[in-house]
Amino acid sequence: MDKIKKLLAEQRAVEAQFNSRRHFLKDCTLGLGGLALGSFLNSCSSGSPKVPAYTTDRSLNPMAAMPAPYLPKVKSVIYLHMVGAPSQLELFDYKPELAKLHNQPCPPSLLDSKKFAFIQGVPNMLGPQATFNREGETGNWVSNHLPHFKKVIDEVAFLKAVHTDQFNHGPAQMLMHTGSPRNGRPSIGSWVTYGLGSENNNLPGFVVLTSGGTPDAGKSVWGSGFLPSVYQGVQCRSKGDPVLYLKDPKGVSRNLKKKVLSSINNINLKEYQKFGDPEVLTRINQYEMAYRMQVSVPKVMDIDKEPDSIKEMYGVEPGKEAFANNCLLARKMVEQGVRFVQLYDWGWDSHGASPSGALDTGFVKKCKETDRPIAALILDLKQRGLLDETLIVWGGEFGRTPMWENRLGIQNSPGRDHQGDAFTMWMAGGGIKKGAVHGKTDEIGYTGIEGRVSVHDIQATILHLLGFNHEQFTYDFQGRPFRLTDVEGHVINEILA
Amino acid sequence: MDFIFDLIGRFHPLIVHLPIGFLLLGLMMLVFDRKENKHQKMIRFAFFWGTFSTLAAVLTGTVQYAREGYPWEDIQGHLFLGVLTFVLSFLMYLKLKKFNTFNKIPQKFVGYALVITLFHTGHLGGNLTHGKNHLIEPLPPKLKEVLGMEVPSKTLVLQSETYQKLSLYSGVIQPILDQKCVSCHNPKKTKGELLLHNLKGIMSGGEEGPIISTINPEESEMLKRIHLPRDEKKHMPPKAKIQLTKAEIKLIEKWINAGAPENKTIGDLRLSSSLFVSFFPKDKTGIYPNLELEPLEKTVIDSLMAMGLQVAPLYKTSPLLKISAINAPDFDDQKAVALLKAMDHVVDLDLGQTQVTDSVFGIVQQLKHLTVLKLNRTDVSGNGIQKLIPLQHLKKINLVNSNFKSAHLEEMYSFPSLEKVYLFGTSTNLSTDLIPEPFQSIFEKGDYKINDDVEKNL
Repeated sequence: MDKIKKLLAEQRAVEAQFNSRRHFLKDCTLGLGGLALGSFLNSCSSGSPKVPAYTTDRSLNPMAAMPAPYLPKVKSVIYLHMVGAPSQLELFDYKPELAKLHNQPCPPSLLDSKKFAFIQGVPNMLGPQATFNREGETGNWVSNHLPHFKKVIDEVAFLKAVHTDQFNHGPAQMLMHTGSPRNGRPSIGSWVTYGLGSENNNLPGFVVLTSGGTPDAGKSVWGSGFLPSVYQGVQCRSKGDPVLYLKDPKGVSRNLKKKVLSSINNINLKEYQKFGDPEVLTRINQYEMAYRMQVSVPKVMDIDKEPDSIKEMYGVEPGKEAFANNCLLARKMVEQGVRFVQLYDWGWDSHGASPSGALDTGFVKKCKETDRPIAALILDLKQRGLLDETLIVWGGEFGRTPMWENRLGIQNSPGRDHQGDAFTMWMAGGGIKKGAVHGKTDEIGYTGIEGRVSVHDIQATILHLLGFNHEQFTYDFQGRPFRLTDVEGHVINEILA
Repeated sequence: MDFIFDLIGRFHPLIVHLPIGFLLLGLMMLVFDRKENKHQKMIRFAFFWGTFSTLAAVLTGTVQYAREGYPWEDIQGHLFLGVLTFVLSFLMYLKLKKFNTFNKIPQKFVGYALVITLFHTGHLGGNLTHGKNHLIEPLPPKLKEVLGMEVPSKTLVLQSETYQKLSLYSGVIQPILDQKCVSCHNPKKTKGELLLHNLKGIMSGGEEGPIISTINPEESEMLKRIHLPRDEKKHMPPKAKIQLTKAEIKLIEKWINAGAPENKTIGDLRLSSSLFVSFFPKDKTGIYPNLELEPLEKTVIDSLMAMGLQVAPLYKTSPLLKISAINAPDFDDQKAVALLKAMDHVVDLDLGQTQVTDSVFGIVQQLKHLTVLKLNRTDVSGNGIQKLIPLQHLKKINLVNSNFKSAHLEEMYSFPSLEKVYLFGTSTNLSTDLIPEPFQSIFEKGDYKINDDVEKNL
């Protein structure tokens, strides 16, 4: 009884709000003007508004698909982030000179006025903990840790001298995904869904899949910042229910749910007829989308129905939380028109302080876990004709030092400290120059000497491929237009086809 | 007491508005009163003050000219016409007063002449304060072209394959200067005694000395002038002229920094390609045909969207359309007839995962600009795919996981622009002895395998 009373009181309070003089003066003047204007223009239809199932009107459906300002080269992005920062010196950046310096003290000139997360005093140098070969027709370098990757190496364009100004995981991840090392900016996936919307009415436009753990910077790396919250990434779990609270509660059938929703929508429709507030229509639209997602999301998240050959290709482990599963899911989502799929794979922080973080054990395991699925993802997209309309980005938040980390003055298993000055990333897919290599590091991979690109350059390039000019793609907030790339960023034309 | 004169001169921009108002009013009243002749007194009044204020304007204007150092060639027309306006308005006043001195000149003539001189003087005065192009500047460039006010400048276009072989100076820098600088710095019109139409001129500099320093390139006068704020008097090109773009400035900088060489090529100088990207021809439509079409009417688009189709332009300002049935799984051959409403506009059609069958080819063949066709996960077997031969632009067909049969492969050999057909997940047999050499690379079956052995060898 108490609850009903409470509800009634709440209802009365809401109604009273709409009947107050203050409400009239504050909120209704625009409406009155609008009404007057409507009658002037003779466009006011008196019929009851019908909410279309699909509309490109953003005021009714914030996820409505929108054309890009310029011809897009790709329609979807799959971003593979190796959380913790994989060592470029054991994967792609071959430095034979560094091998000669192995276990010798680092020249002090390299340490002058440098900040490190853990290195103290004078560390020793650490030679490459891998063997390298030239692979593919392009003859680009890749290490023995990535035996499958060499099959797809000709599809990929390398950026060998990416740099960032952050040397700790959280801020560096924020910078990589939101354009700023501090909280509060929208992530790149949010920007993209805000700009382009979602093609599939029944699926979110921006999906996040994690394996191994959440990034250090937390969920704000897929947050929407100051953009409306509908544009934030929807994290789907690869184990259990893909999206929490999507399943009908016990004892509630889908039919009943439909009835409940249609009653709510009817009430909302009346509310809309009374006040003409488009926010109400948005709400109706969102309820209906959530209802449709209940069926579509579990369907697209179900990898069991894939043929065995595909499961084997990716090396999936059904029922587990695995990067391989996520790669397969990413392909399925892109196939269904999801705009931005963000994969985070945790565990690449190879300091050498523990076996899981050592370049000769944990790191090798991570390579093994990701090598096959990534090669499979590229080949699978290719055979389905999706590779030239999808962009794949691979990278960490920074790179790793050529020095052997000596935490607390002790040299443990082989490991490297954080390094922002030079690291490797790669892109593949539509609009990318296959087999290109841009940028070069010095003899020990410590700093970029040619073709240095910044984090904002990478973001500008991703937006470019999706049909945006990153300098014109802005959102007004707190009195000024904001950009993903802030006031920086240049499109990296050297890796574009 | 000199300042008094300066002050009087500064009143010119204020006072000039009075004769314009008075005389215009007088002229309008003349027209208004032409039949009844009832307001002669008022009209005389207007012309009296009109004449008086014109005199005041001419005097203050002359003072301003004398004190503020405007060049005579800029001012002469305005001054001459101002005096003429005064003479004409005085004449009109005398005529209205019925003096018979200039009887031979009809009043109407004086009236028309006054209208012309009044407006022309005002316009020239406006040009003096706001710059020559102030009035026509807001016009759209196309209109200016039609009116002959502006010749479309030939913009520099570089070919991405060959640009490296060009000499930076003669292939890039001089063409930029020709477009943006030479109209004022040529042998006929040599502003600041500077010639920019050839290397000799550039190197010899202007009245203030050399404009390029090879010893200290960053201090070159040319760069300084370019980088001054646009409002600064010494900024080049002048405020009202077409400005250099960021990319052009960058290239001029690079050239001067390299010592302003005459013959070194872009390749020799190892300049990054990103400097030149903005000069490459714009690839606005990519793989799709570049067509000038009237956009499809919104009502037609809406009617297609009402069927659950996604209909969107390739990019915001493109008339070409992408249509996708991703949200319409029950789309079928009958509904596909509606696509004919967009038969000129649709270039990318995604009917994947729908109910369409082979009879859809009868409709698709009429979508004459179609470039990409997706029929993945449909029951299409390919029967009738030869109907698509007339599609001149068809480049990609996606038949992944469809029912496509090998028998229909050869029907595609004669497609004029075909580049790729995706056949993964179909029962087709693509063995090389069945398919002639030139077509082997078009058909992609995929079926990639990832080899376990690689890992075992580790």
